[in-house]
Amino acid sequence: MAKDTYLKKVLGEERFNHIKASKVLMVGAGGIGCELIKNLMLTGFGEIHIVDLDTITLSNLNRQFLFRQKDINKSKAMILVKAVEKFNYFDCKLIPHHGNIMNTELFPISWWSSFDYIYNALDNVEARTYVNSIALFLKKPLMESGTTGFQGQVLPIYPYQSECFDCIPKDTPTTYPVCTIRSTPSKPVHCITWAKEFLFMQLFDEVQILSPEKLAEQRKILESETTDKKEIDNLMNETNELNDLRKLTSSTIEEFMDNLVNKIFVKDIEKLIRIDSLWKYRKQPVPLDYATYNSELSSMVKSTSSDVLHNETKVWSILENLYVLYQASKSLIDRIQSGEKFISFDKDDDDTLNFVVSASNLRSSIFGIDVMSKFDIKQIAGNIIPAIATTNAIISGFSDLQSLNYFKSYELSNQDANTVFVSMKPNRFVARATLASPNPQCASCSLSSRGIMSLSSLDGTLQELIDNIKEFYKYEDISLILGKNKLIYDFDFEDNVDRSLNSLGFKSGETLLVQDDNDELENLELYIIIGEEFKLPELTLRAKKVFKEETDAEDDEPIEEGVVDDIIEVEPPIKKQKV
Amino acid sequence: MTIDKSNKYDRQLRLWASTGQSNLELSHICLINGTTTGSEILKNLILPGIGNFTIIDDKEITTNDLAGNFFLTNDNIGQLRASALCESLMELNEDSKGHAITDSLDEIDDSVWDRFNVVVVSDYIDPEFLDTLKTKLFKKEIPLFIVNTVGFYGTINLIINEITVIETHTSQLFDLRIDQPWQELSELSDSYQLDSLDDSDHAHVPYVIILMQALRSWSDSHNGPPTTMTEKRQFKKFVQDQSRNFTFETNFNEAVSSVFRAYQKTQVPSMVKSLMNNDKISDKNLNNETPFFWILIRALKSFVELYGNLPLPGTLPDMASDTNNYITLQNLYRDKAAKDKELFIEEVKRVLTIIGRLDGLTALEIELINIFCKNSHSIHVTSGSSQMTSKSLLEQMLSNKSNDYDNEEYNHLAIYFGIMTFNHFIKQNNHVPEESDYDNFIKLFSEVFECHPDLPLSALKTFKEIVCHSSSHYHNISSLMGGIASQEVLKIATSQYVPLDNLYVFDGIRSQSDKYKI
Repeated sequence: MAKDTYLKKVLGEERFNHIKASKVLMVGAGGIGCELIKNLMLTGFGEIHIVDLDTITLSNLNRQFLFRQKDINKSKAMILVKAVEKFNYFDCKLIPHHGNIMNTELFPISWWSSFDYIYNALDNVEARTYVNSIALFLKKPLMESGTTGFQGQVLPIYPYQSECFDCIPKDTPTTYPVCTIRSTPSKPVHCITWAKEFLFMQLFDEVQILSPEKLAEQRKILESETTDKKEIDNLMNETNELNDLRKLTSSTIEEFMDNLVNKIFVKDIEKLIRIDSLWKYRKQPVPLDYATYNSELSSMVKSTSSDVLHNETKVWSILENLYVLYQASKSLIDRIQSGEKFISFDKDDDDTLNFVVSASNLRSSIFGIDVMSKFDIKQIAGNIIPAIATTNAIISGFSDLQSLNYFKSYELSNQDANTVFVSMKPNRFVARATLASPNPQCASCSLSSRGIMSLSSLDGTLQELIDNIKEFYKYEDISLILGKNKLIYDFDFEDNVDRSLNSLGFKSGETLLVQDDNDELENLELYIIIGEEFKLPELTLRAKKVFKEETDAEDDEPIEEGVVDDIIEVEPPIKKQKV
Repeated sequence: MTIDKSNKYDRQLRLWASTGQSNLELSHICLINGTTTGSEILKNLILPGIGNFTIIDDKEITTNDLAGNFFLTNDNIGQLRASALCESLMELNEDSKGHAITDSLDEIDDSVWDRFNVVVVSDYIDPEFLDTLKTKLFKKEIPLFIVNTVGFYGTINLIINEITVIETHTSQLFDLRIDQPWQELSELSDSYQLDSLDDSDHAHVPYVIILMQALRSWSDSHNGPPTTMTEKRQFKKFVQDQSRNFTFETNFNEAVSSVFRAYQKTQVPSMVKSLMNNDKISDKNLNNETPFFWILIRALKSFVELYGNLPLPGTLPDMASDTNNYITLQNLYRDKAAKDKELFIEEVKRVLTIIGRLDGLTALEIELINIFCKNSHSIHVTSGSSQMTSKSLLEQMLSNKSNDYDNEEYNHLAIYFGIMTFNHFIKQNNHVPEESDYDNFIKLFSEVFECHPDLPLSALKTFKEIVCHSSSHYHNISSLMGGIASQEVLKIATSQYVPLDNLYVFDGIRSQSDKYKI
């Protein structure tokens, strides 16, 4: 019996052939990606492209079953394809790409348009939003998926027919007032934020030298939070002083450590105490008595057998935290001195993590806040989302399963696919819901149209382009925004009209947002490519929707628990490509 | 745990902690039949680091096995499935040790089963043998999972007589005792004179104190705490009215939004109460064979009789307050929790003396007691069944009383009975049923389950689907069912979370599932 006999039987001959002839894209080769690639290959797809910018780390191995210890630090996309080649029973063409999916030079729109279906297997909102926007530009079906711990969700997206990724509002990450972080912490997370976002950043990461304007801006932010001039002055000075400390990264570890501890855990705290107003209703911090630990610390440093660093679930003592701070600083300045220009915080980079853990614990103890174990701090500092093989296996099964409908008809409308939720809730392992219509207030799909604009050259003037757009879509008056937020034209800003598109920053892969200044037509977002002739996308623009302020919508009806909330895995920090 | 392990398993340690992990590492799982679903189950257990796995399978690998199984290659054709799979799966994680048994099932010695913590049967084995195995393992108290997939359908049975779980991860309630403060907490609450505080201090009183004071003065003037909806609403208003400036006083905002914590009655949950009355811990049944879990329950019973409440977990939610006030309050909860734990340990020791164990508590047992005291309000015990079907289950299927979400005709239980019939059909005919076997299939169903072959349409449709697809080789479904089944095995292996009780049916055509208790 041929290997595909069963597949033909289950899928039906017609759909089987469609799938065989299809070319699909899988974005992400991590937890879900490893599982999904296997499913897609065994479903019989003819060609699969795999994109991931990441490299393999040890903590991936508990679930990403295609990777082994020997693959650590290698490209996920490359290793994934290598690992599955020997199981390629249906002769699928597999093409890996090691790169950032948002890179328009590596992945131009023409490349995107060659796919029949896009599967997201991502772990961050930024990339998800980007792929979603491409799907909207090209009207490509997209399967969104995500897991966190025992929970997961898949969401099929049929652009303009069903809810898109941006139709669902996202939680904004919690932020803390600068003053809480810098002068008056009261919870462990405040100290962790201080150690990671402020101290570590100032000492080791790439920081811009602040211009006077930036400094004035910073002061303004502080003034909006407090009226205490003394506190503001103190905070502004601290930043300058840390810049001096940064220079010490080229000295010896002893010199660095003494200066660091004496400044941030002694002198800075003493300065804070002198601002009386802060402590009227709060307990004063107690500066670290560094001298009492000095001799013990140096003997601990000398004895090579200390295993403090290996005990991640124990809460370290002050001395142990000092020791960890010493060892972490030593490694970090060694790295700086041997040529690393700057070091960014990374939860998987133990030197950076140890520095942040010990520094935040020392600060906590000064302020009478609970000291935590490295394991627990890592979760907060690294925004760690629990992840296991089982949930990923279930979710990628659904991801493939729910996409099958599309390969029967190749139509975006009338899809009876479902969004599926998986959880540990007793009685409800798997729940599904019919796809919702696009959110009428979604800025991405309901309030704007999208298309691809081909420019034959970038030498023409902005005025020519404006005339063309106005005529083609029957706009009265428009404003233009290039890229994320660069306003280049509106009714009382005509300075640019005679400039060439090239000089304004038009280029292939950039987007141009067209807004109707008379508020009659909806927004239009154009993806710019350079082609043989000038061409605007054929679109019928819808009338602009106006929404009344909603006043009483809030406590209308309770949302059924677990049906529409909080499922997509979010990992806020922007990923930097590792080479 | 070594540094490498804690790094490798970091993302899962955040779910089940090192206690769950070490339980997992001590576990030995047995898989009968090296199917695709079976391979998926093992993969999902080997990756997180299960200690040992054994595959029992006497069959040779054919091209059919390759269709959906990622762990076999062309080179394996003709080899024994158990050995080849075992070798291939071992590559996934050097911390897991694999074993292959290539004897046929009836040749396996009885004592072999004692090695395993969990046994999984994937797809077809002789129904008669399954019956014997079921009885055997039920007696030995070894959990047995039976996992089947056909076409887009899948089912999981969990056969076990008793499961006890301490860490269920189910309760998100905080035990704050606002309604029944102990002496020190009561004194702390009394020490706050809200009226005499200046505005800043007033805005920094932790809401636990606000609620405690409000509840007391309400109860004094209303003959007891608020109980009806109206009273509760009035009480909420009462709390809000005590704020000097509700827009700015975050602590009062929190008090109002957490007002339910004031009505939350401090009491022993009924599940825990019924455990404390279990016959297992009566004087006549308690002996030195009694599992440690039940010894803890017995100690808990005495604890509650002596002190009126369960041991305090001692955790306090985050709340607006200045550091000083919060820490004082936090320490009070912690100290009480520590004291309760000591008192509880006294009770445990007393029970141990009764049953003649005088060697003192091991470090592991102390650790378990720690966890027990933090979770005593949400402990869980399930009593299972050794049966795969029951009269009422069959009747439910025949009358199609399954949930009818979309007014479509479908019948989840028919999937279950259909799959059991599928396996009986293989036994009877030595091949899987085809479309042409439809009538025989229905006849066999009525013979096996001793009922009239006049079936509801929904069941007929489902049976038709089963004989049409008649394959358990669709990889997606294997991946899915393998994921769900291994999730359940993980619960057993880590001794955490509430496991399946006890039948799960999955319909991949509608992405819908249901749970039943036999």
